[in-house]
Amino acid sequence: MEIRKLDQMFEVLGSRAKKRLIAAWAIDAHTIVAVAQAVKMGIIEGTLVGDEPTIKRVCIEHSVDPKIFRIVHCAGDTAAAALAVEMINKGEGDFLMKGLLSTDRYMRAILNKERGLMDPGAILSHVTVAEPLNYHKLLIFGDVAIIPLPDLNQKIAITNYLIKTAHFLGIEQPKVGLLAASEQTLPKIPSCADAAIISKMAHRGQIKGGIVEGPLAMDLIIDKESAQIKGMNSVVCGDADCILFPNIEAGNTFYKTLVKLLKSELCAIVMGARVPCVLTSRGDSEQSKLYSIALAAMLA
Amino acid sequence: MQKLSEIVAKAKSLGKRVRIAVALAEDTNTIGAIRRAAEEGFAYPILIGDKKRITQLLNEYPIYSGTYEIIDIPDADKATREAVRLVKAGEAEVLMKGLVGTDKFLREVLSKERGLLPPKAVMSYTCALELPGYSKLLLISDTAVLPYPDLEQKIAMVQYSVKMAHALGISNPKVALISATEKVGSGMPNTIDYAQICKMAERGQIKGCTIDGPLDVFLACDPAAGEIKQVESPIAGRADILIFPNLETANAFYKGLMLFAGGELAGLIQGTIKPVVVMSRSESENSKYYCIALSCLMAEDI
Repeated sequence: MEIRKLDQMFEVLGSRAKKRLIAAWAIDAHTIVAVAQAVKMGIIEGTLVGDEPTIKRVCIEHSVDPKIFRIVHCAGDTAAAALAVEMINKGEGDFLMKGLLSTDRYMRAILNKERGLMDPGAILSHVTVAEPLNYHKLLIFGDVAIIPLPDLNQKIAITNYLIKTAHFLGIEQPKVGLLAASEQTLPKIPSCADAAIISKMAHRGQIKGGIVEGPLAMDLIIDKESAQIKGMNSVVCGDADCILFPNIEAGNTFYKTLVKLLKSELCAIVMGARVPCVLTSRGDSEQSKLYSIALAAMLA
Repeated sequence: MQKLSEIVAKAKSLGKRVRIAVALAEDTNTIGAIRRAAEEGFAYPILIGDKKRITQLLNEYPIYSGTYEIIDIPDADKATREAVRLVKAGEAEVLMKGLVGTDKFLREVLSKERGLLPPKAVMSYTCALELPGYSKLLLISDTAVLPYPDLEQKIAMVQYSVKMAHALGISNPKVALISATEKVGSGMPNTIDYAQICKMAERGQIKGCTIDGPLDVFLACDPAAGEIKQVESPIAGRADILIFPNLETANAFYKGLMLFAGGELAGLIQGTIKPVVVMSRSESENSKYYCIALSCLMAEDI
């Protein structure tokens, strides 16, 4: 089933075996309430790693029954992150989620060379799935949070993550637009050059599973009429499922514009580790956190 | 077009004599080739050099039909300078090297004040090969001028070669960007340039041709290879033009074919305001004659 609205993920997850979430240093209301909601919906099993008395107190304060979780006691945030990662590596969970600890400490636990979740040479990147109000399908894009200025290899990795995410959402041949300032290949603009290279690699079958086109400006990616006016006849134009951003500023601005100006729902995960990792921020809405958990469960 | 002799026929069909300024026309090879072009009626030679010497050579290789000029400047530097000046002033349409050294000759062509290269223009060399084993002429670049062309220079090579193909009557030439593999990346930086050139063509930034690359020579020139390797390409093994990643590869490719496969060639310098014929002494008189015919076609095209 092709997911065209974020809440359709719940339907799909409800019909599958539950995936097991492990939340690191899950001692705050934001994390606990979001996980509780997902557990109650019957789409995941939740393990909270953190200070047990605090977790229980927060549960009671927010009318959550602590018995719906597995609680693993751990006294400090860094230790809790390490323990959560270790549990994943032992096969006790299918995906990871960040609790109250800083992103920095969370990432360090994932990236730890001996005990982390990375295979050698793997590239960690952030993938967002948004439901823009006036677009006819979901938009999957990256990287808005982890890699500031991806080089060609990192862009190829991100492109593959976008395609993989689309596949897990039931989109068989996702259309990927490689964003640049212009559809012309201007060698002095690196985003144009890289997009041309990635597009050609896809033609040669070096990137599989999607239709990749670029460089394209944003209007050509999401608006068919603009593409027609400019004489662009790629099937990607105006019908993209995925967008590769050339740098974090462009991606992050797009993300925040969707959320704040356009009031669109979205969710996100970190890919490239052995399991999907949820990385919500406290600024995210309850709904968005729940979607992020669901997205990770879809990919786990 | 399959044979270089067809270039001669096409040059003749222009119905005019192209004015060719020859710098130091004092060797038998040059005179031998240029007199044939004059005899066939498509060239008007302006022979610059030591008049006595030139006259002596013309006694051995007389030009019976048509006219020619001799400009008496025995000094090599000055003769070259005059030949370049004639082209720049529009009094001749093709520049040709005679007995003068290539270095000296090109220095004058490249001179900022007196030369023939517009500011920022890329100078490059394209030749047309006649090969017994191929169904048409094969244009290749760059065999002689640019050792390690960068992206911009590669684009110029494509454009010049396409222009030559057009002059030969090939309206939509198939351009193959040659590498050792059809894959992009693979530790070969040229393939990165090629991917960009392909996209530029797709976006209409390069016109008048069909481009694909990276491709190896098999995929470029053997229709069966694409099927075997499962590579879909609009070139489909029928390339008209091969763009090589560097001079060594292009040079070895054509010399190998000349030596082992009985190939013949005609080539010239492009990027200058008019075609420039530079031939090495080792090339056959036939090749030189074809070069002159080709330059006449290209002069017309510009």
